Amino acid sequence: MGVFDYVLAGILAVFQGPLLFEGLGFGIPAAPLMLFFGFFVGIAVGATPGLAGPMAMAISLPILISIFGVRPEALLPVFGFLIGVMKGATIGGAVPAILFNISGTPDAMMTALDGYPLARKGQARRALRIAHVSSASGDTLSDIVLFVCAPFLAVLVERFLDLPEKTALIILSLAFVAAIMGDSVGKGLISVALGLLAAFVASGEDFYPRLTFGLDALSGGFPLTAVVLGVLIVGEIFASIEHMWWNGPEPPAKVEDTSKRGGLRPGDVRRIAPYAFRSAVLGTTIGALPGVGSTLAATLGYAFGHQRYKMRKAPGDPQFGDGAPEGIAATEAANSAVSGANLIPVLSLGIPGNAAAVFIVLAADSIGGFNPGPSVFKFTSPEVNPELVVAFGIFTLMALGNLLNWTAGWYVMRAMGIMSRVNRHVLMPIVLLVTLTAIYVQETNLGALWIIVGFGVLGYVFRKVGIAVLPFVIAYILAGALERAARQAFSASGADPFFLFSSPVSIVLIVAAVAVVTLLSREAKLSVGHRHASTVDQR
Amino acid sequence: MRMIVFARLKSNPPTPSVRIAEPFGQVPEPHPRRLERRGQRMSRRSGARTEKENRDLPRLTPDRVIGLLAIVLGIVAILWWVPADAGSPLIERVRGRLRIGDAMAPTVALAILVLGGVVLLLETRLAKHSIRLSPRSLIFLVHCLIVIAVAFALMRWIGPIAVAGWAAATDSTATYRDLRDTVPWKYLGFLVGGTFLVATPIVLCERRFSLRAVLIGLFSAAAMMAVYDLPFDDLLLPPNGDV
Repeated sequence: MGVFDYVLAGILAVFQGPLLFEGLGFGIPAAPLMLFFGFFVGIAVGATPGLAGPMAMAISLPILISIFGVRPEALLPVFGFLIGVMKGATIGGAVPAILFNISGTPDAMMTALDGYPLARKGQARRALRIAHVSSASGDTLSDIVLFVCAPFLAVLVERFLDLPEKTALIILSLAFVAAIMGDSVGKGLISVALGLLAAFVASGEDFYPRLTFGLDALSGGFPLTAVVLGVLIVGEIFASIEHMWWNGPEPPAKVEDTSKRGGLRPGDVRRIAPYAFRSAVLGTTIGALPGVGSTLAATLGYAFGHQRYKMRKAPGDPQFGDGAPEGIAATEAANSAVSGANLIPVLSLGIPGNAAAVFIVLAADSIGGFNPGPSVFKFTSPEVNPELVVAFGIFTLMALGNLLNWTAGWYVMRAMGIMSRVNRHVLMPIVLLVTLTAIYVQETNLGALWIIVGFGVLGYVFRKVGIAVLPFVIAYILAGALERAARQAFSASGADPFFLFSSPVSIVLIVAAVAVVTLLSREAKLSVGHRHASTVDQR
Repeated sequence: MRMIVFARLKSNPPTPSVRIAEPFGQVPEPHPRRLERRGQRMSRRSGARTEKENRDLPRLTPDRVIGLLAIVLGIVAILWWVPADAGSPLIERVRGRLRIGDAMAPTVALAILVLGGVVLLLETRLAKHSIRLSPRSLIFLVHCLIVIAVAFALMRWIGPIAVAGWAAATDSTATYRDLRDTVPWKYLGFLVGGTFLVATPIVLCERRFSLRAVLIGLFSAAAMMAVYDLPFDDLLLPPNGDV
């Protein structure tokens, strides 16, 4: 099969895959419909302060697996829903920021800087429309870069990297994630170390399950879903409830302007286009790096937009921070461009770069039949590589999601202002119950619930002491691959203890890992406190 | 994020209390404000704390405690825990060939933990502030865990206790295990425990008992039953997989 045949097979796998239901002689394929459902849910959770895309992914994954089962045909419908949530949540986050000045995430805070003042001037609908157009533009560019770069990068990796280089690449990724996430490199390293340690419990090659203190309860290790949901979701629930626990529930949001009139004005698109494009390029570049989330993209997008605006602002135009449409465009295009590009490391290298990518890996791991990484992009012929068909199916779903973003996104987004009125102190306990139930139906064991609560406590403590949680999760996911690659590389090199320095490429990768940790730790970053580290970059 | 750091530094510049030495011999005493500005510039460039900041920051900040804990626990685990709790050493010989043993990966992870502690201690030397921990966080966490433990206990025991009571009243020999796939027994524990798990935090946040909170809990638990139990025969709600 050639490249074109694989692309076609991927498209057909989406539209001719398992049917969700049949009626009037027509079958409704599950994958596109699940994408639409996911997109709708994504906008709703994005528009709900306190909720975010990964939380919806976490809750829905066990339900999706229950519906579609653990067979290869389930992959695309499940991925469809998750991709829909991911895309929907990126545009949904702008709704409470613009209408109510409520910023659940730091990047939404940047949107609120100009969106809310514009809404207060009676132009809420225009602000939302600018956010939507910019967000969809960023998403489009990001998807195109993903389609081109992921296969190319994977082929390069597969062709030029051997076992020592692959080991070094994983080490570099972990070093990068530890150094770049949160406010302290030291804390990032501690987070990575603990993630690796948790993954190594009972996972060795010997008969005796290591690091279990001889306890039978630990002999199976920690379930992946319980660890990921515990640290990412339950920890976040604890942290969210705490403030309201001591200070009482937050007052309901008051909308400043609910005008239904207005929208884009003539010349608005031309006005915001350069800002949206520059931010989209910036967001895509940042998104392709593992561990660098939409917060940094939004912040830099806004800052660069501000610089340009100062030079080109016409007299009478509002300042940045005073309701400038360019400010909304610069932020929204940047943070939306991160979502597609974040899938580049996960699809091409098997390295999840953000929380949404973690759930894509989790879904693939739970269902089986698809192992994200460079081996996916093997263009075999005449035998069909089913993983490659799934990969092109994912690209098709991304493109369909983008189409939904441009078309239905605006109408769904506009209707979701109501979600901002949901009380967080009511929502969070419900999310806790849903998460615990979802884990139980998978593991059917109350012990698993205590494991998820235990990791939830760990996630909460991490947030309190300013340790970023995502390096822990990414290290937990990559630990098995790292150990396997190192063991094989050591054996293949004839027990050479310096196998990581056996080729120029692996030396460069290891030196880069050391350089990342060394250079970034020289910055005294602790002073910004733990606010940023405690907020999982969930969009 | 680094831009936010710079913004903060600019808005709260450190105030130097030391005299800045002139590099080339004696020069007239500069104006104090000029000295202050120069000190601010140098302090910003080097990232080092001033004496005043050193005085303000206690010696044992939470960040330093975390760094020290990581170093001590990491070394103790490398020396005692891993060798005692792994099936094979760092390197082992199997059929004449050397291979990596089970102790290697945890040892490397713990070495990274120690490295993280060292880097954190070095970072705290340059940091202007440290995180602040409040005992309220611990109190909150204990309360949360008590609520969860009670909810789990209700889920686990309400069904069996109800069946035991019903069996005693009707002279039946049935146990919960016999009835765990029948309505209403299979839902009792989840409904009561789930309602408690949702309603209690709402009540505690609102600081008043309300029927609304109970109804929200009841509805949430019922919705979970509808999602998982009604359409799927093979899925079990808590605690039916354990008893």
